Amino acid sequence: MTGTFGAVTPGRWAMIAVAVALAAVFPLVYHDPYYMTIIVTGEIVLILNISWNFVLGMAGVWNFGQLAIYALGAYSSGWLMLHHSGVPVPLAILFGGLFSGVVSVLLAFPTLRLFGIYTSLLTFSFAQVIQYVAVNNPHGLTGGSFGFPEVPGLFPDLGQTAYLRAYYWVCAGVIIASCFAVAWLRQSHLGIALRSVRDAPAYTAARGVNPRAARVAAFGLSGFLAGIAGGLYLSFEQSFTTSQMGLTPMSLDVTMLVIGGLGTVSGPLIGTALLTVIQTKLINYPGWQLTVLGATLLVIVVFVPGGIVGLFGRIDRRVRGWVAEDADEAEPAPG
Amino acid sequence: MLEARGITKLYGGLQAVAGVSFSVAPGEVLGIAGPNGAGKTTLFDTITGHTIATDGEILLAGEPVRGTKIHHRCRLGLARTFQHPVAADTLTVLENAYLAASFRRGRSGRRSRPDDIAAGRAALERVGLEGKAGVPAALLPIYDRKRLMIATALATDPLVLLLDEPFGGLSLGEIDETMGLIGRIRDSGVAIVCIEHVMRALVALADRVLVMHHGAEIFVGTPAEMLRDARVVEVYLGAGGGGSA
Repeated sequence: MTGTFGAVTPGRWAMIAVAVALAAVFPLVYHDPYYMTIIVTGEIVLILNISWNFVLGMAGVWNFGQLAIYALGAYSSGWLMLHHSGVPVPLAILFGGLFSGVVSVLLAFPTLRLFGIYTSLLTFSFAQVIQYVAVNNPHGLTGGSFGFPEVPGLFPDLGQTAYLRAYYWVCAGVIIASCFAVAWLRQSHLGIALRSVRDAPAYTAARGVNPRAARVAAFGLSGFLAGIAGGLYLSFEQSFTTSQMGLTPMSLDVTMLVIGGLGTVSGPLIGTALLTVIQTKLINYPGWQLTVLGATLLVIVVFVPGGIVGLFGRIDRRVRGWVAEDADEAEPAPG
Repeated sequence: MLEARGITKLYGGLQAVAGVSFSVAPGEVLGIAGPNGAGKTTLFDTITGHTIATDGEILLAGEPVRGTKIHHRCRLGLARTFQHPVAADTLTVLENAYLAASFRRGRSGRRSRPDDIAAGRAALERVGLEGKAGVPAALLPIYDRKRLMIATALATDPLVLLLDEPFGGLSLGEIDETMGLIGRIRDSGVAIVCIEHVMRALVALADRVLVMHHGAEIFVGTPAEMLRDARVVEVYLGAGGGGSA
């Protein structure tokens, strides 16, 4: 251990390889267009959740502006796709990411002057303002509550099955790349500094870390990925309505993060997958959707504060503890 | 190395620190004593930048730093520990030390992870924590947490070290070990300011002691003089206790 922290064990590499391979071949054997659409939408929500988890869980800033940042990624990339049709769509999505990253950095400066509940209030207000502005459809830029006009999208010429399959792979690629990026960032100098600032801000500043600089960087990276998710959503759905950044998707997304395990790499994966399945199963019982959502959140917050990933970590440590105790007992007492 | 002149900190009408001045030289230990609420920790906070002094001057290696940021003062060579043992709980002991070492004074050019880890490890060895490098800081008992806090301070390669009650909550044996550690840090040429209630340790370590009461300094002198000073005895033991001292 002379240069890396939290190195990945060979066993875990094997698990990752198997999971990636299974995810890659899945759309070749599964075609149902209804569920494939839900799965691709879930993938895009997952990208958004990975971005949010970075600023919420790893940097520890209770930023509720993330869905507005996501929407700005959709609108800015859509503006390029509509009005500058010479620009390739992937480039337009990248532009949306960069635009969102810049806005996120600008949001960081006033936000990071505040503490606790005021952080949440300011960022939440920011999201509300962006939503109201978008509903008013200034200069026809957002399409208002009717939704953004139809855009070419990444694969305008493909049939339904191939279209869904192609988007599935694109999103899976973004997810895998961002998971590796987050895992790498977590143990990078920036990631260690961010986690230290989250755990003990006054102490960390007294050890030479500039807390604001580290967190501004986190806002920028997180905003970039959220913007990419927004651009992907718009180009996949061929529409983006202002309800996409409302309170309902916001509470669903934050529930996914808390249930999966805030601040972990695999938490967003598990939380998003689990709640997408539950919400889809209950789609014909809209009343129950919210009830089950609330109940699950309550149970997790009260009984498993670290989320599902935290729970597995605890079980793993406990089993290791038992094994170690057994080994101690098996040894003959000295003397 | 560190010089404070007329440090004053007002909270509304309350004078938490009232015109305190002191200086400390390399290889010297200045003790700070005084009853609870005397303003000792607030004085430290103004020195390190955790709160900005209302008035006064702070010179760190000759540079005025009163209005500057905490991390800026750290990189100039000012390190502190806290009364409550604090560390980044979810990071390992070595990650804590590595992060501090990556900002150590005088580190030049690009950041090198192997160098910073080596510097972090060296700091852990100085306090005797090298065996727990991989343990998350949250799982450390109190004595180890206190030593980790000193190790991360040392990892920044400080010119001045401010210790806020380094002996609080320790057993007698641990106090002796910590006294040895602080003595070795002093001998390496670091200027040390130490807030402490454990008089045995303060008397043994400090070259000079500054006693505070209600924000003001009421005594400066050697530990031996302090024990004979009528006002100090009165502040600590109450009026009437001074007669037999």
